[in-house]
Amino acid sequence: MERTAAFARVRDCLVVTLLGETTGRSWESLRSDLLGRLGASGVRGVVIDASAVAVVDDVDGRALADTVDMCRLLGARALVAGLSVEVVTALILLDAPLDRLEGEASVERAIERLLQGADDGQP
Amino acid sequence: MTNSGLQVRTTRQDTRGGSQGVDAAELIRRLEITPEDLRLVRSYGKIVVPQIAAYNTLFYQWMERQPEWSIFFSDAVRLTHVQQRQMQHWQDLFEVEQIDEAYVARRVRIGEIHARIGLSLMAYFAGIDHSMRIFKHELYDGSLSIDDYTHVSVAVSKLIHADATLVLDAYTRATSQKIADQASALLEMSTPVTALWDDILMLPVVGIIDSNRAQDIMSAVLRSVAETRARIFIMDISGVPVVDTAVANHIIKITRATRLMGCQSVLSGVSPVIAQTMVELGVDVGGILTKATLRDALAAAYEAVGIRLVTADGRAAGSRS
Repeated sequence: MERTAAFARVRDCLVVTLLGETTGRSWESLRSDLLGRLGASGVRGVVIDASAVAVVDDVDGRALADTVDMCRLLGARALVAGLSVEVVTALILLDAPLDRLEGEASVERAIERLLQGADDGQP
Repeated sequence: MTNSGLQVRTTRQDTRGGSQGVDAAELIRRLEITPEDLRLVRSYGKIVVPQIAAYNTLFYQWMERQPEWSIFFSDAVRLTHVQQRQMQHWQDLFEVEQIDEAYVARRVRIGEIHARIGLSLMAYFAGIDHSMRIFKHELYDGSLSIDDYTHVSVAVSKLIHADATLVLDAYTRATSQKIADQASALLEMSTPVTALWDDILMLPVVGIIDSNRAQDIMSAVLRSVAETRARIFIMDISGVPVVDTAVANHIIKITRATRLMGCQSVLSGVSPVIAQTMVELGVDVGGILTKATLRDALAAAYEAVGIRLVTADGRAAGSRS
């Protein structure tokens, strides 16, 4: 099966880089992979790097939100990094469930924020 | 300006281009203009067209007494030109063979010229009315029977009303185009996203937010956020007169969009009335950081990006206590 994500451990964070187009199926395998690693490693945060994503549909929006929720259940805070203006606009127009989704401009900044602690950036 | 602004403008032009005024067939049908009417008008034309120079003299004797005279006819060359056009215009009407697209286009053109120079509709209708008096009374030689004269009169009226319809339509379209142009110009001026400080963006929103504008605001803000990588975006809505569910939803969407790009939105200028409506409307305000004043929002922004203001002698500045 084609690889749709790459994983990397950076300090106390797990960085998931989304590669190219995603489907409902690929999200499922990505998720089980991610959650498996998360349970084993005991990292504090997850960064979903979406800077290579150019096109999204409503499946992606929902899958993204679900993944973030699942990470939270396993005790890790998840941030989405590197969303482009076009992708954000599309997600908003698609009415994706974004309430709990948080983003950062870059992976670097996302890691910084995750390591700073949970109090930062919350209203 | 933003791409979406441009798109909005082109779409508007398209819709405008789609409704190119009144259709000749529709005009004939609605005013019930028959070939007999046109024949009657032409028969009356045989009486008045040879006297068109006399009409011109009489009309401009009257015109001289109108307030528009000094504004539009101070130039002799222009006056002659306008007189020529006007005589042609009436000759065209009294020698009409058929009402086709070309005839309609010529009439619409007159309306457009009048609209462009800013002649009031009152002046236009007064002119038409006076012209009719000249044609129907002063130039009439009494050669028709009373019956024929009545029929002619009705037929001429139909063509005059057709003219009036076309001119009014041209006026209306000129006016709505002006309004549309102004609206799009206003839209372009209405999203001045400014960098207040490193990492802090600000947008004062003045006026009503509709979905078009919300879209514009969102793309302008997102673009600025992507460009500057700001961490805080302050949206000041003290200039927004009404906040209803739709507006509140637009605001929430904008805050969510910036959050996805790693930029926290702070809403400022929330008036007591707006706070009340937002809660009463059941808008989920939990996720949005709101402040009553721009000053408070700025203080929150400084705090969030880790800036502490101190006075020259080292005391904390900006605190109200």
